[in-house]
Amino acid sequence: MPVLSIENLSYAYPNAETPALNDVSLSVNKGEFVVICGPTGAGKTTFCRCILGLIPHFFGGDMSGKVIVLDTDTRDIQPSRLAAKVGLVFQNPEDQLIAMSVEEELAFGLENLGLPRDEIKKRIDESLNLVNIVELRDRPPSELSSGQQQKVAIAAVLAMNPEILVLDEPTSMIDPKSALDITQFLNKLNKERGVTVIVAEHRLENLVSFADKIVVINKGCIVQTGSPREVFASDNLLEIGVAIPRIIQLASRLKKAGIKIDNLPLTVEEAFSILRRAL
Amino acid sequence: MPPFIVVHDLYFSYPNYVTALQGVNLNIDKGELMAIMGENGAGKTTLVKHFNGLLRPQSGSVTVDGIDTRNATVAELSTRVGYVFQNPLYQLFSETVEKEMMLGLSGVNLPDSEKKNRVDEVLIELGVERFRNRHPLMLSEGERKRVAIASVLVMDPAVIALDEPTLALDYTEKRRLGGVIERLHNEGHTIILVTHDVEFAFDLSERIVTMSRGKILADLPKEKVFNGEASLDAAGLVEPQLFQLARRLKALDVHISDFSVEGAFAGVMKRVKRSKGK
Amino acid sequence: MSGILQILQWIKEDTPIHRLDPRSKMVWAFCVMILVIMIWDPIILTLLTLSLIPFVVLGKATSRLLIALKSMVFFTVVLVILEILYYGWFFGIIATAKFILATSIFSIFFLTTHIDDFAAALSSFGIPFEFNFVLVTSAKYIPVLFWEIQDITDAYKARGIELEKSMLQKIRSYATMLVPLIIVTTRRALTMAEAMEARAFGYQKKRTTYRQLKMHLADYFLIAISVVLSIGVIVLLYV
Repeated sequence: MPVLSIENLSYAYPNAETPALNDVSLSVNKGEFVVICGPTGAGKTTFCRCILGLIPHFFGGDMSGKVIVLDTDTRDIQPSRLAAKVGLVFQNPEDQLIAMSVEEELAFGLENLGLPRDEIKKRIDESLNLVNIVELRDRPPSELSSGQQQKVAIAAVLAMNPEILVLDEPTSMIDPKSALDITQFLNKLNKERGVTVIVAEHRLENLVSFADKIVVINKGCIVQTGSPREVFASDNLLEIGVAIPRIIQLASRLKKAGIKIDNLPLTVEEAFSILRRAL
Repeated sequence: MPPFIVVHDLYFSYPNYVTALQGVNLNIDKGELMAIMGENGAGKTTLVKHFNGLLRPQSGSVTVDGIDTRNATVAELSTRVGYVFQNPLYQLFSETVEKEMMLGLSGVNLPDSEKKNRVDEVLIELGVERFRNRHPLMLSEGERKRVAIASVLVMDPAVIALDEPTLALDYTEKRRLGGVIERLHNEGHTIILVTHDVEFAFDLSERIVTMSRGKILADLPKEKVFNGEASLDAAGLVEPQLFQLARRLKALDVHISDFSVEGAFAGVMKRVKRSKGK
Repeated sequence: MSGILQILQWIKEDTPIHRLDPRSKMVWAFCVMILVIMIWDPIILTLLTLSLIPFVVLGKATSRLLIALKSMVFFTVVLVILEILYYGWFFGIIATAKFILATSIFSIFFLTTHIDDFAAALSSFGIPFEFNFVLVTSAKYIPVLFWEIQDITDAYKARGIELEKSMLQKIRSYATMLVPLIIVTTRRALTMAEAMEARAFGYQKKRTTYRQLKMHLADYFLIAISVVLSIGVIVLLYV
């Protein structure tokens, strides 16, 4: 059951010389964990905005093709209406937070939805617990580290109970430990709660072992789609500017040199077993 | 030759905050390429801000090129230590890249033709010559970072300190930046990388200093850090996968001392040849 | 500069004053403010000043208030001179005292009231959400702006430019430093707008307000005393 269906999507920002997206098509099923990768400027952020309906409604511009989210065409619905079912977490942790306390931040989206007060309270409690930031409840977001801020942003979006969670380079501006926490959390969210996760990312190392599907974008076009092992078997990704995790690069090189590598390793554990067998 | 930067028993705390630096001792020689690493709040940025006088010691001393930082202005120290901030947008003030370069030279006493030469040199060095007349906002993050470095390099400081240079950069931009840093190092500049990007730091630096809670945990050549003489985890850093793998491969008699893909490949192949030779 | 910002920083305390409903505090502040404006009698003004002390002390706002007032010393000195020139010695000093009193009342209110509670109070008076939102968000970003100005000033200094020079050059420096600030702030505003859309802002006209305000006995008591005493004083003086 596709929760997201993109058909021949092309888009150019207002006054832009070149299109940001060129005839892109993609289908995402319920409960999938999709990673979108590609160099800066490839169109990852634009892609995320299209899923939320921010393109075309918020940004204007020239859009053709279709984006169907949960059986709704994004052109027929305002982004604020889609926001109840699809959440978006932005790259810059601080700039997406608007309230004076974490509690208020989580309440914001729920207030917008017009939910009754006790429901809001319940969801705030749940979300703080889910993301493991209960102790941050009364803190002003401006006092938090960027990693903590990003967790707050995620909690604020999850409080709205979206079916699909879209994240646009959520870890590129935060410290590695928080990045790891968040990555592992996304996996838990996806596997235990069935939330469809779509992440645009550069740091692929700890992420790819969780992904069902990798989508490689370059210059507005989808260059490749497939399972992690399928996608990373191709040679040209590094040239495009996709940071293939180093243990995978190592395994590929060894395979080409004739070493018996059964499979491309997605985790350190796998890499170790594979090498042990090969040596 | 005495070290270029000498930090002696440095204590510093921000008003209303916890003590940021607690008795830091560090010597940096001319020509080094080193990384200062640790989690947020460890004190890395606070420490490096003492090198160009943005912060002054509350106790202890910091000496740069023989000058006690308490007796010099930031402007003076900036000619010795160039500081590239985390967010390039904070340090780009002009409408065009070229004007930005000239801004850095406004305090310098050189004839205009000399200044123009310097600007040209630096723009070419960092691969941003074609952006000469563009507004920094029109550039990508990676290009902006290089412009920020250029704007500091134009003063020809002996030391260049970069604060979290890899933030928000993709693979290609990171490699480009790494190339620029190596080139600058080969030309004789001292480079200090303040970063929590372990791969980047280890790819480039020879010396690793880890910090946590205002103290230096370890100050070692990178091989020793890798061999376990210092813990990256204790400094709040995440070990890249290749590191973890390399450590475990020791049990299989595979020795990797270089954490690039080439280095790891070479290490594994050596072991393969050894077992074939048996 | 930072002293004035201190006024808008809510202190995380749990004092009887903090626990008061912002609406009752607003009534109190309004009444005292009216009295300060209308009255020139030094004895009554002194009594008014003394009446502020329990609020400051109970609200644990003493040090912050003093810092805020201290930061205004320069401005106050200029004001004293102007007032004296305009009103003569006696009334000049009283005019300045009234100004300081008014500022203190304003500060005490904001030092003991969380900005979200203030926004909730405004909302209960019927003020539209958009206005409250602008208020709270601006307050939220004041410390962020403060640090950014610091960073930008540092970055400027680190370019080898000596700051202290002629007045004209100083103005030029400040103008230059404004550029990154404006750029960063504008970008942030755009991201915030996107983020708000993505969290259903504008979903429907009727929003829930999560923050609940409840009036207690102490609040009614404060309102009653403020109103009664104010009216009493005004009647006594003018009738």
